[in-house]
Amino acid sequence: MALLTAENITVDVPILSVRARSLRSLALARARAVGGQIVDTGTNVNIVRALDNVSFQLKEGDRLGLIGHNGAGKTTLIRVLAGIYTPTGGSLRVEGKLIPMFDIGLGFDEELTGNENISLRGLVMGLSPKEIAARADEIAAFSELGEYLNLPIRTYSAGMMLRLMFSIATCVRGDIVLMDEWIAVGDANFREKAQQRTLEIVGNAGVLVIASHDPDTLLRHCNIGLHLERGRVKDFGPIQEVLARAGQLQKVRRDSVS
Amino acid sequence: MNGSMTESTRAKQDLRQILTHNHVWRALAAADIRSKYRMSTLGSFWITLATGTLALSIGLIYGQFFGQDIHSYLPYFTVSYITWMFIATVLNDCSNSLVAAGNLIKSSQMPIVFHVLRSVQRNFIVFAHNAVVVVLVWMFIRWPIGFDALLVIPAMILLFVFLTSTAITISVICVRYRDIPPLIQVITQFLFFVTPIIWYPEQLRFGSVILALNPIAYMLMIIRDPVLGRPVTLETWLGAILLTVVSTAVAMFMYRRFRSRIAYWV
Repeated sequence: MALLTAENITVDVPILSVRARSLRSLALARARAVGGQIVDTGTNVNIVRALDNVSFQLKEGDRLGLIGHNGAGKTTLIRVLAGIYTPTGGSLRVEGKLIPMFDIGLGFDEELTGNENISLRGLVMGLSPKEIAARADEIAAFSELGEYLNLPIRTYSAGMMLRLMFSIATCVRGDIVLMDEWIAVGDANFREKAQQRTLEIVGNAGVLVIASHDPDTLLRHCNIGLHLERGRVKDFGPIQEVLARAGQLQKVRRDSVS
Repeated sequence: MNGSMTESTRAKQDLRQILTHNHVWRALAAADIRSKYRMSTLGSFWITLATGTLALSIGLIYGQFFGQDIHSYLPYFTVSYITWMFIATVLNDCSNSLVAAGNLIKSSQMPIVFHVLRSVQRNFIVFAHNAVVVVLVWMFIRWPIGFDALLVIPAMILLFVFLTSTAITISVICVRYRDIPPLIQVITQFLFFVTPIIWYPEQLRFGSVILALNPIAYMLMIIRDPVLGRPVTLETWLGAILLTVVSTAVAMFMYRRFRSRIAYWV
């Protein structure tokens, strides 16, 4: 049973200059156009085709790694899958609960305490107060922040902040998990817990989609790869083959040998 | 998200969730207020203090210029002023609500309309704090309050719906056209003078048409007059209801039509 079907997804992104964003400039441009002369008012909107006819299907157990240079369309595609960007062409079919994991520090407020931020983040993620309460203990335990959770997070060190963010962000389970450049967290101690938790999420998810530049991460977590170039699908298939064809595999082998 | 969902269904679902998931935008607004006043002595009751001071100063002084009895002018101005502040700050804040929430819009699946409601609710919480000043003024002046005053409750509901709808429309336009906020400021400044806040509508001899054409006047009067024991005409109620219905229809149209574009514009 396909959990995620993307069919001919096309995304045209409007590039709005300052002039194009100005109602006044637009109104003046229209007024001038009556004369018949073509004048470049700078209010034209340029359109960039960020994704061009991207199609693929993912079934239960598929772990897709998105590969490509900066600007290839990985972030755009993953946001289309999350329902954040509506494709200008094509269709998307999603079955099951979808968890986007994009910004680890989303919705955090510096003045509020760790516990208050747990509630806040839970609300932003769409959890009910009951669900948040049920998870609060688990999150507190995982972060190992103890009494610090009663202090405003602006008193936290960067490492503590990451611990809290990671604990909250990973407390939900879903059928489809999307990760965009998920970062490495915390000190060596916490990093192992974080790796373990990431593996859990990956293991529990029906479908996983990861956008990453790190071939190592992709090889470890994914079984299929999608190589995007300039918004088009350049390659699709088993992750090893796609990485090899993309010239990425040598990098991993080279690094692990030296 | 299940199956394939069209954009119109998505927008409708968002709008429905305003009611079904109201705890989300209400809790976020409450957190915003808590955060803002966390480091202060009185906390959010600074709001009440600030408004109280202003209401008292202007109420006691301006009343003298209008030859009005302080006992009637002070409550009149206080109620008019706090209602006006609610309306004006919602109108000014909403021009930035969606733009400021850009990161949340692009990184989470929260219904986009919730960002607007968070802003309106935040201002409502401030309004509730300011309402305490009215209670304090009543304790000194004790103007008669009858059962008619209960009409303020449906009036508040109408006002909230009207402001939310207007805010949704304005914030959607402002995501696309970024030079609108100063225009809103100018409009609200103008509205302050043509709305009966510091003057009584009865005092107007010429130009009563501005009262009839000023939407804010209708919304202000249905809130203020029941509280002060002033009569509200049927025309005023009908006008307020009509304004609310029209603004809601426009907001729903704007949201359904442009929701899918907001993530690209922001």
